[in-house]
Amino acid sequence: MFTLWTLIEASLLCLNAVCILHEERFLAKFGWGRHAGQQSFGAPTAKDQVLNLIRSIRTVAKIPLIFLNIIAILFKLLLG
Amino acid sequence: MNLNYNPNAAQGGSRRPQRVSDMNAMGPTAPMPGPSTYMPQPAPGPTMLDPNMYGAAAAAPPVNNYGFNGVQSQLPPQQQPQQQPNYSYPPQPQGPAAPPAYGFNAPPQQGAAPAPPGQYPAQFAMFQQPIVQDMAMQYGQKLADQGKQLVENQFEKWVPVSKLKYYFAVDNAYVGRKLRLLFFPYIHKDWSLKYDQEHPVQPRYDINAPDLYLPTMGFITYVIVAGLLLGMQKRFSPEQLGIQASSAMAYSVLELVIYSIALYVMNIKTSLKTLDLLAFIGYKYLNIVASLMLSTLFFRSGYYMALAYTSFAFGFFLLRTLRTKLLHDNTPAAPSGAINYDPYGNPQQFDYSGGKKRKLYFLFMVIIGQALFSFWLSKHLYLVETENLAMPTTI
Repeated sequence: MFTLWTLIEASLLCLNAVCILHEERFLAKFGWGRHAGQQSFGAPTAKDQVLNLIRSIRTVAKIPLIFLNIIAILFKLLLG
Repeated sequence: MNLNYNPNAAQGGSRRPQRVSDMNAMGPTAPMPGPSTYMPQPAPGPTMLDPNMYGAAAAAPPVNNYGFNGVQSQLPPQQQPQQQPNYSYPPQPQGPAAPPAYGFNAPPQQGAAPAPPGQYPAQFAMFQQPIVQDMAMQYGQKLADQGKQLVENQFEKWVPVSKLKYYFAVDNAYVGRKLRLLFFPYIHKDWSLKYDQEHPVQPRYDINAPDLYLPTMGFITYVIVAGLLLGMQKRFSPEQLGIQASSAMAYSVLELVIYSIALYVMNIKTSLKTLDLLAFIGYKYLNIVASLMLSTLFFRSGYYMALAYTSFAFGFFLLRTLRTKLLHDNTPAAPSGAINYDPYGNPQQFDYSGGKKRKLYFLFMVIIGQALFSFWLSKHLYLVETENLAMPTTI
C-alpha cells in the first residue's frame, strides 16, 4: 500500500536525485546548463522553468537534505 | 464592623468569617519578604493566604499581596487553634517576629530579605486600594494578551490559520447547495465568483467559492466507508483504518504536488491558490463515497456506473468553475506596460495572450486526474458479488 511513510521515503529519494545532478559536469553536456536558458527571447519556455526548478530545489534543499538523510539512515539501521 | 479592607467583597462567594482576634497582636509591622512580591497578578482575590500553612502545601497562588492586611480576616475558623503554638515561633527567615496572623506570603517568598519593619504598611498600603488593584490587573492582562499575540504570530508562519478560516466559513445551506451542485451541475447558470474589494467572498455567501469543509468531511467519510466495506468483505482490522487514511492522504498530497509543479513548469499564471487546488482535489472524495455506497446495492456494475457518472458530473463542474478562474483570468501579475530589455538592448515582446492552450491542457489533466485517482482510491474497496458477505442475518 502506498502509505504516508512510503511517500516521505519516495520524496526523499527524489530530492536526493534532483540535488545530485551537477550543473557543470553533467547537465551542460545535454545543453541544460546554467546559461542555456538565459538568452531566450520571449516568455520562459518549459525547459527554462524546469531548469529553474532544479536549480532552486538544489539551492534550498541541500542543507536540510543532509539532516534528513542522516535521520533516514538511522531509521533504516535501527528499524530495518 | 471590620475596618480592614476585605478583597473578598468583590467575589461575593464563600465569605470567611472575619477574624479580628489578633488585632492586638498586629502591631505596626508586617514584615514583607521583598519588593519582588508586588508584581501584579492577573488572578484577583487572595484565596488561602494562610501563613499557618506555609509549611504545608499552599495550594493557592501565593504571590498575592494586596490583601495582606486583610488576610488575617480570612483565616478559616479551624486555623485558630493552630495559631497558638505559632506565637512562640518566630519565623526567622522573615525577620522580626510577627504574629502568624499576618498575611505575609507563602513559602516561596521566605528566602527574600526581610525589610526593616515599620515602613511597609505605609508604603504598600496603597496596594490595597481598589483602583490600584484594577490597574494592576489590567496591566497583567495586557501582558498576557501580548504574549498570546506573540505566540499566535509565530504559529501563523508555519500554519496559515487565518487563510484556513476562510475555507471553513460555511453553513448548512451552503453545504446542501454545494452537494447538489457537485452532483448535478447542469442547471447552474452563473459560475462567477463574487468579490468583495479584491478578496473573494466567504463560501457562506457565494456558492461558487471553494471550501475545505466538504473535502475534509468527505475524506473522513471515505475512511469510515472503507472500514464498512472492508468489514463486509471480512477483510477488516483496526489497522486498516489507519492504512486507508494515510494512503489516501499520501495520494492526495502527491496529486497536489504534481499539479503545483505542472502549474509552475507550464508557466501558467493564475489566481488559483494552492488551497483552492486542495479544495478541488478533495471534492472527489464525495464521488468516491457515492460510488462505494452504490456498490453495496448494485455491486460491480453499480460501482462503475456511479463512478462514471460522478466523474463526468465533476468534470463538468471543474470545467465550468476553473474556466473563469484559469482560462479567462486576467492574470494578477498583469504587465504594467513596462518594456523589458533583454541583454542585447532589444525590447522584449512578451506573449500576453496568457497561454490559453497550456491552460486548457492543464485543466484537462486535472479532470482526468480526478477520475483516475477516484478509481485508484476505491478499486480495492468496492463490493463484488460474492456469497460470503458478512451481513447481519435476521433471525
